[in-house]
Amino acid sequence: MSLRPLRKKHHVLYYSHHGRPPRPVHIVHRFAMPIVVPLLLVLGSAFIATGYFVVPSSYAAEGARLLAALGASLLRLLIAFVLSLLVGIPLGLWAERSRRAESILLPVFDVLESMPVLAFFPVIILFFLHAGLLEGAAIFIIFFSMVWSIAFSVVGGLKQIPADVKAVGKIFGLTRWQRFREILLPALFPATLTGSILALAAGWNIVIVSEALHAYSPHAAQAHDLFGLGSIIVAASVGGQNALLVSAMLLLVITIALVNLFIWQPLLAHAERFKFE
Amino acid sequence: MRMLSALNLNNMEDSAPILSFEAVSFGYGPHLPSILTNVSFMLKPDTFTVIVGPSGGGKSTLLRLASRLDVPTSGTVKNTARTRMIFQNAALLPWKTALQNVLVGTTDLPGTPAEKKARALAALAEMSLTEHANKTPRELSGGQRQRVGIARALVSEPQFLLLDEPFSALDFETAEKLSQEVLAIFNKKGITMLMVSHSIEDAVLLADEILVCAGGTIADHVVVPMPRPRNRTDAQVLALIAQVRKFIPES
Repeated sequence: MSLRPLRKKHHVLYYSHHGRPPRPVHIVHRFAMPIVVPLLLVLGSAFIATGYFVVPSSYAAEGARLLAALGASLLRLLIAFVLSLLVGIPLGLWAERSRRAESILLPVFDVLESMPVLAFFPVIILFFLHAGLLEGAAIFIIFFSMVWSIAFSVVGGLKQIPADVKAVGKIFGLTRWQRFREILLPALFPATLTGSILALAAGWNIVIVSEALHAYSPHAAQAHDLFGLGSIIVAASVGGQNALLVSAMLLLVITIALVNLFIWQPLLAHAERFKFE
Repeated sequence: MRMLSALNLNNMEDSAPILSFEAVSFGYGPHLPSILTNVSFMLKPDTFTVIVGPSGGGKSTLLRLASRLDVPTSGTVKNTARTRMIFQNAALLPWKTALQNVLVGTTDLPGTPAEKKARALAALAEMSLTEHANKTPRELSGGQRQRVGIARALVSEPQFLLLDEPFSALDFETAEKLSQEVLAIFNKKGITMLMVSHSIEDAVLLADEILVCAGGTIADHVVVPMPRPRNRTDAQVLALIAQVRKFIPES
């Protein structure tokens, strides 16, 4: 296929870093970089590790199960992400509210963020096992790995808002709620988006292990494992089902690339208009 | 011409002041040095006052106190007028269009959204920005942005306008043009104006009174007696510029 630029309608605006104008990017480049290159890397490393280069047809029947597992993992991530936004944004706003609050809360956030959450996972599992909410254990641990990115990005975003812009709300008679809705929230959008991307990346890391509960708690059996792409990857890896492992990994890479292409990139491009010069 | 002593508050009893500072001191914390100490002055209605002084002298803090953004550590600031502000870099919201930014100035006004929109469009028209109403600040020049900021400030028909170095981020030609527009607004609408400026020339060209803010207090006060419009090359203007320059410690 020729890499000659396509007609104008096939050009797409792709996110470019702040300060650079958006530029039309060839549609092949747009898909090649975020999807094809990671896929080749995964396939290459999978081949070296397992001897499988392509997914055998016997696993085609597993496709529906893998997609359902992906859906379950995505739902967990989504719930944990929404919870992170609901908790992280107020935490960030609270920390920035006064110098005193900042001096107390930021070190606490620092410690909690640095805490190896997997070290506490057995205790967390035990707690939720007793409550009969194993799903809660997975969501909690994903949430805990996400929330600090959001909180810190909100604190950073608040510091980026020029003092004059903060003054506009007060001088022009906006109520506290109007200032929050009309000025603060839109101004925080770029920073919160960056925090969200980091949070979701951390969430993808944790979702793999959060579903394989039996691996982290002596009180949990394999039957307690949660259905999802993560538990399939762990089980396939332990059970030597290399083809299944490669299939699940490919699905994971494609999903992450699609989320990046169709959610994060358009949002990043949109966030440019919310940035202060 | 120059009043060397601190302003006598009793001299202004002939008309109720629009703003008064009485023995105002301000600092950001009990253990931090004071930014303003024992500042007293008042502004009569329909006057144009410019605060000049060296950087770090407390000029912008005076403006923040006048706009009630900050509360004095001691002393009293009285300002009961409808007050609006024009900022150094316009302080527009980048995600809103020019029209939407001006609508921010109508937030606390009575009226339907349609009435507010009509007012905002009229304010934009007054600043010759009708054709730019639907553009975002990024699509506007520095001068156009500042004019949107002025429209936002004027749309609610304020009695008192604070101007925080409104021309300092603009090129000379645009700044000159905009300062004439501000003067025209002052003459037409009779809004009391208090402007902070680093430019002594602008102060002498525009002001009825110049307050020299240095060392955290009003160090000097100069009345400008010449009628407006004033010419930058006029001998009287040049003499006054030289005189005010002497009062500013760093120059």
